[in-house]
Amino acid sequence: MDPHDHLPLAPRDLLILAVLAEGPLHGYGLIKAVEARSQSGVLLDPANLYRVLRRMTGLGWIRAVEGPGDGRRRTYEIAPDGRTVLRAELTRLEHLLEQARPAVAGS
Amino acid sequence: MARRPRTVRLYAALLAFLPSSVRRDDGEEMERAFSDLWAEEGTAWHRWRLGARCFGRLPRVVVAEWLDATGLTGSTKTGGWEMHGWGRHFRLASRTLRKAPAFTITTVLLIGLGVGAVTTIFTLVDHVLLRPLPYPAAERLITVEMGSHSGTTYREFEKLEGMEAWAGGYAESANLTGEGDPIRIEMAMVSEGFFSLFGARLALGRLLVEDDFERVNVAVLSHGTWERVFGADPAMVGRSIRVDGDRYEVVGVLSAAFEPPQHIVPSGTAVYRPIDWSDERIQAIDYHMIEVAGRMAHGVAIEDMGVRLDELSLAMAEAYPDHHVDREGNPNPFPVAGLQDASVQRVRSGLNLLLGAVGLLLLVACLNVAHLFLARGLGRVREMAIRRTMGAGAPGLVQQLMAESLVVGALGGVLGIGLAYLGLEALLALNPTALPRAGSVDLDLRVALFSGGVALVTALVFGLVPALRTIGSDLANELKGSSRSATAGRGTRRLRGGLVVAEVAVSLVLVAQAGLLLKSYLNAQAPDPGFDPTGVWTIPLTPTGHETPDSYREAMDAVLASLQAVPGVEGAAYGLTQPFEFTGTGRCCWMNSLGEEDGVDAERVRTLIHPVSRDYLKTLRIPVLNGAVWTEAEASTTPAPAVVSERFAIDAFGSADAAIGRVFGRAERPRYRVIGVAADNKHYGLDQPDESQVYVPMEVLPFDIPMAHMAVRLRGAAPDGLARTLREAVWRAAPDLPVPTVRPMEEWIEDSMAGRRFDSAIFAAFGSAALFLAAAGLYGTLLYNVRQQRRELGIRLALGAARERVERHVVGGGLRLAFGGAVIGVLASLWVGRLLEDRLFEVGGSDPMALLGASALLLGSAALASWLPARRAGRTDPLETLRAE
Repeated sequence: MDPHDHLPLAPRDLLILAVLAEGPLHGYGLIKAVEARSQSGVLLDPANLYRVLRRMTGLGWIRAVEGPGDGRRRTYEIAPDGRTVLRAELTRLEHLLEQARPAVAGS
Repeated sequence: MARRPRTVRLYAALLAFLPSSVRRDDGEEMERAFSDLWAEEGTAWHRWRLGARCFGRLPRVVVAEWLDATGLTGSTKTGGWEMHGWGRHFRLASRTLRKAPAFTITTVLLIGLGVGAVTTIFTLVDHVLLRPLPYPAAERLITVEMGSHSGTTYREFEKLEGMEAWAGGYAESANLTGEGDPIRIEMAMVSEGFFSLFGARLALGRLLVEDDFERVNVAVLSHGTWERVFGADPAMVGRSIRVDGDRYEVVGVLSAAFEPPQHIVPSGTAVYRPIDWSDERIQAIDYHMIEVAGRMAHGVAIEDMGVRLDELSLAMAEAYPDHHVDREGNPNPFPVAGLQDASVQRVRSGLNLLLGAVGLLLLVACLNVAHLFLARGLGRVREMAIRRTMGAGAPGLVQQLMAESLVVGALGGVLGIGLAYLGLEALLALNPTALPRAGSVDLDLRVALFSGGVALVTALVFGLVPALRTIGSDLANELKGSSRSATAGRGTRRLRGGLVVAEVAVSLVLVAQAGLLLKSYLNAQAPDPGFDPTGVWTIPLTPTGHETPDSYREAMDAVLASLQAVPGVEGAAYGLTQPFEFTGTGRCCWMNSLGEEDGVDAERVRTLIHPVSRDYLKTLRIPVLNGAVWTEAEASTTPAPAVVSERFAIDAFGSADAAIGRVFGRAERPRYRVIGVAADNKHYGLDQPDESQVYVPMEVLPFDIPMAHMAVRLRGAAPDGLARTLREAVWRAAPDLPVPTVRPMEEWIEDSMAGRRFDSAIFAAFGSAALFLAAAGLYGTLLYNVRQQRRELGIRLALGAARERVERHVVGGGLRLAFGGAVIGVLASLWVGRLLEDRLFEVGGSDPMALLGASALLLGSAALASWLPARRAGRTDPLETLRAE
């Protein structure tokens, strides 16, 4: 997989991957973690979240882990491909910032 | 498990719109995540924002998922909608709609309102009328109507062929004592087959068995009672409870899912015990007590059972000629009916009426949606024409318009379901007619699908069809820029005119019916109750467990004395019942037929024999017209003294004067001597005829009846805490007696009007909404016409036409439309009014006042709605308009 095919990531996707990179979470936890981290105002709703999660699972970026026993929440963890994409996106953004920042720094 | 909050259930119901694969994989997780979000602490504002976010984004996700599921989008790389096929149409549609917020918001609101109202009522109808009863083989359950039956008759039913099983039962109010405060409950006496016929399941213990009917003092508790009264004690089986002073051993607790058959026992029944078949009353042929239901065997038609029951009715008439025949000597019939039909009969016409009214409201909303789409379509004629010359095919444009309609429809549907969820809450809080099965009413998947369907169809039909006219218009003409000519829009103008006419007609129907119901409500309030309810407070009691009528009377006299001693009380009395206790379908007390042997009019007079304490008439201020009330010494004489109502005196003896001194009554019952005649009064409701009544002393009660209604007349205004003071006064005399309610007489009267009040309130609400929408539609249409005719108007004014003339022209055009609609509306109202007639009180279905009033209201609004555009037309600046062309 070439991660660059998927760049740039939508802010929502980037934040989800970033949050999952720190450890597995279930749906509600993800919504709260993204909300807590996002000053840009990325607020998720369950229906949309699971749509994104399904797509990312399909791409092999994340994995669903069924909770132990019945009635337990399903959690999601990041897969190696997901980390690759996340890293690639962050590198891309860093480059972008490096190039853009001088324009503001001088003024 | 605790029940999920309503909002969570609503969210879960809406998730049903997702494709099944998605729902299966993630539905449960989504619901759980939402449930957790919703459970967070937070301000109302926080919740509102959360709700708006989660519910508002749902339609978009649903559409996107369906596009994925049906392969209408290409790759799913971004998770968004790709720029081809349907995905492109929807993306474009959302963008265009966002650019026209006024249009989008208005249409979504209109569809939302219409769908919300229809969904609310449909949910009720679905639960109450359409769903099968929650019992096994419910379609084969039947009942025998015409009131209740004696134990003997019930046993005869059991012998009939063609039936699998029968169940019978009846309920009485009873006092459950010994568990904290004494409380009033409903206790049901049920037959052997009751629980199995209705498929009851248990939470604990066992159901009733054959042996229980030998000893009777065993009980099965309802789940709610077990939880509320006994703290869900897991060791409940084997415990003993005290009902009306008798001990019962609890053998089982029903599961929470069991819904008692409301045709037989009340829904709040707390305790079930076996029918005591050895009880003399149960065995008596004229003691009609038991409500029945039965399940027909496979392959037996309800008509077959009708025939068998007719045969039984003949046989019974032969065996019991004194009891099973009516006045003319015909056998009492046993009419058979499906249990479901019988259970909902009372409310069916009311619910259908509501459904009809709400359907009309939806129609008006839809017509307005059509207006909006039409206007918008016309504004885009040029855009469409250009897109076609640029190579866009007609199918593509149609799909584009369809996508817009669908997006608006989906948003309106979501709003509608949300509104329905609020509306349902409000409606159930009113629960105007004590709907059967109301407790189980909830929004669910079926109803959500129904409303979604209504919203989408509405948007497609009323949005797309007018919009299609846009595409069909003459290309060359449009591009030449002559779209402003007066002639181009003639077909469209006619269509818009037609819409206005239809709106006015439908609104007039609603407004006229609202008028009828309102007038009927006011009429029903007008009659004089025949007594003075102001300053009277009532305390219904259920004194049970008295061995003899004497001990009952002693106990009640003690309570009476205690109440009379309360400061501020002018007087007090009690009776077996009280006016306005039984309104609607309930009836009370002895309805006695009087024998011919007393020289009473040959046609038997039916009357209410009402045992009361001596001061009853004085306390309620029912005037005594002739003679007097009995003295204390007279009370126990035979024949017993009686004060009869004027109506009874006239019915039985010809006049009030002729009644005094007459003796009446049937041989085996107590006989009465008339010593006074009292003024008539209402007993079952202000809208009911004056009741024929016979007031007799409490001393004549032949056996104890666990009912007593205390009435207290106050000297002045009710002091604070009066209810508490009166309650304590009762308890000082009878510490174990439950006092469920202490309330002013006026409240009872008010309650008896609740049904009519509800009918007229809901029609007034629907009617004014429709009126507003019709006026808005007319206003929009005329404004549009004025804009279209700007050039024409400009020329006229330039040529010297008077401003007033131009204004009159516009107003006249509006009124012509409104008048056309009004004529159609009046004709339709005449027809609809007939359907309503049996709900009206002293108003005809074609009441001219209501029709004229409604027409005047409609035409007035129409004039107002026309005047504003007319003023604008009159102010047209001729030069400017001509230059603009």
